Amino acid sequence: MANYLPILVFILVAVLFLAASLIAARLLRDAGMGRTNREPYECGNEPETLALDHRFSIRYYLIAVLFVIFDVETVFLFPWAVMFDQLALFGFIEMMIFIAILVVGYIYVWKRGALNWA
Amino acid sequence: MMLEITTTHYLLLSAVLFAIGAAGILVRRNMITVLMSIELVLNSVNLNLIAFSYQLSDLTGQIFAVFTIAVAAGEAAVGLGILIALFRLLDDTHLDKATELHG
Amino acid sequence: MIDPTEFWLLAPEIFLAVAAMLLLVAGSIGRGVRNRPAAAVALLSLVATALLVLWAYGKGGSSEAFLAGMFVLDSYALFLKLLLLIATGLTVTISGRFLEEGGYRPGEYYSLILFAATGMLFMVSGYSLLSIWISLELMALSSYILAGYFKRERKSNEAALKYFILGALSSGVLLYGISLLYGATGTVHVGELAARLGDLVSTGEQPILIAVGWLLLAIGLYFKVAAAPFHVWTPDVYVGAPTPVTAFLASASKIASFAILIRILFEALPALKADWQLITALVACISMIWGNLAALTQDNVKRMLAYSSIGHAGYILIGVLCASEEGLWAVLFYLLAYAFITLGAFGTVIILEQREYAGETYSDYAGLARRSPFLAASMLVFMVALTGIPPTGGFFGKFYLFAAAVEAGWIWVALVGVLTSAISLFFYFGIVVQMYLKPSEDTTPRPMPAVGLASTIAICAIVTVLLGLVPGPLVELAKASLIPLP
Repeated sequence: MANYLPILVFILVAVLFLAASLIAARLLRDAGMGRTNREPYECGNEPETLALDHRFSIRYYLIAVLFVIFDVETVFLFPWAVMFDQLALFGFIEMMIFIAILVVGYIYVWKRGALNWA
Repeated sequence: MMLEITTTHYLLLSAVLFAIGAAGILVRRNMITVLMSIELVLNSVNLNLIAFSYQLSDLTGQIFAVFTIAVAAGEAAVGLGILIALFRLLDDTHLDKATELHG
Repeated sequence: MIDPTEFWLLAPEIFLAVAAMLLLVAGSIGRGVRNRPAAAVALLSLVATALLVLWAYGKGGSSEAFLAGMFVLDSYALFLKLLLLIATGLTVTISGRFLEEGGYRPGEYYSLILFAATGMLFMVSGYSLLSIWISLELMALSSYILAGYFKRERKSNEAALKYFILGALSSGVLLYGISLLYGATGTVHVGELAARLGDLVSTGEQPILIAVGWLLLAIGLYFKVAAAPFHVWTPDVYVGAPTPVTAFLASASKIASFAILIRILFEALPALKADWQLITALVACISMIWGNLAALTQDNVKRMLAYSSIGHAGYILIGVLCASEEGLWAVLFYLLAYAFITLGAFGTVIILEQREYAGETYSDYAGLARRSPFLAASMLVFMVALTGIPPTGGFFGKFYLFAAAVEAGWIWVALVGVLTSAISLFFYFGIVVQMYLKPSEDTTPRPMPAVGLASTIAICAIVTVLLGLVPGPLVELAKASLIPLP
């Protein structure tokens, strides 16, 4: 049971840290929402509108989500490409199956109209 | 003098990231911040896996990390999808507005 | 190098995944597929998958891991796969009504169910923490979307959101535990992990990595089986999700989660047996007490069933913590009985729901015995079984679990189980009292429900009673489906 003593200490520290940071934030933070809080992040340029006054189309999120999914799958393509000659035919077929599954997802997204910008 | 970076340092960093992420999931009220906290938790795991993989000279950890990245993307997509559906109903991304169920 | 012919052993999973993808594409083209054909395709693919499972087991079933040690097709996996396919099939047959009435696209719904089922089949075969975790995520991600399938209902969306946030947190915790165990041992293969942990524990090396690692891993798994104190998501998700989905989560999802919990505790962490037995005993007791006490105060039937499922997770954990042969086959028997009981009970709830969420309170069951004797009688069977009274499968399930606990020397846990079962009599029989003793304002007889729903409920009720009258054959089957004990 002595093995578990550090865990208890860890949990205790975690709880104390959480409580302390929440209390500190409450004591230190500015009371109101100033103009600066409401400005969208624009890399240093003067923003045109306030964040809460201007809404972006929900399509942006949808496209972003689709991009993230298809983009991240390339993470499997890199190691495969590096080891292509050693993986040989077996690796090739496996990767084609993997891409075929992605294509199924693509067809679904396409046919359901998630790519239509209207 | 150079400070040598050992596995312990990575573990400490990853524990801090994990704690910040877990606290963010439980405490933050904005759904977007919660999604970012989830990513933080999964990436703290990746850091762990890769640090151990380096220390042990074993590839399993890196392979595991690649899968974690892919699943994390899927998780983010599902989370955002649910969020968009809720947003269409509530017009808000604040979790405090999601109060229909309580208990 | 992997021998490609070993992929034949994964034929059932591959087939089911392909079926799910075909349904997905078919459901997206044009106006999609209609409910009946989609349900028929889903059911047929589940039946074909079950046959393929039997074929693959006959071809190469053994307790040896294959495909680089990622998977195993032993009798334990066979039993659970068939059980999961049955539970998924019954979920499909009770799903039609809400899709037709709500006008939600059926193709995607059934394809998500099949994807979740694919994940579950992989889960029970997983023999590496990597394959187990990825298949767990496949099941979890599909379930999050299914919980929010009533897109136009706020409750359903909120359920999906809460399920997603807490599910993702639990996945993170579980994964963090896996990463620490990997760091301590240098492997994620279940068998090798057990061997190296054994060495490390006996020499006393890496104590903190191992202790934190397995604790986080176990907490993540308790989350997934909805055991208290890691159950916070359960009531809200069970109430908010469409009822067929709730039934799916309470039966198939729970079975698959218990399958990996047992696989990991028994086969990967035997070196820490004394530690996890104690923690599991605590979790089991908290679940039984909390689940049953909280269920007492509910007046929504779905929420009561949610708390009762937390309590039942506690009962099943009793069998897990025994780490004995009796305990393990009792768990398998109980999972089987519980799947039929839960699916039947939620099926009855579906029939009584009017629009999406109305008709779920206790008072809506008043006078049901006069309005629909069939529904009242089957609900009576399910409530009797959940309480654990003979002659039902629920009685033998609990009896075997408690007997195993007594035999393994965990008498106090068994005592908590018996006492909380007595408490559960009050809220389960609250419904029975409403159905048989309370008069109802509305005395018109209810029309017979759709054939699919009615026959599912009838099947569940008959199986529940049969398990109570002749439990022997299934006990033998469960006894033949054990994994090595820790």
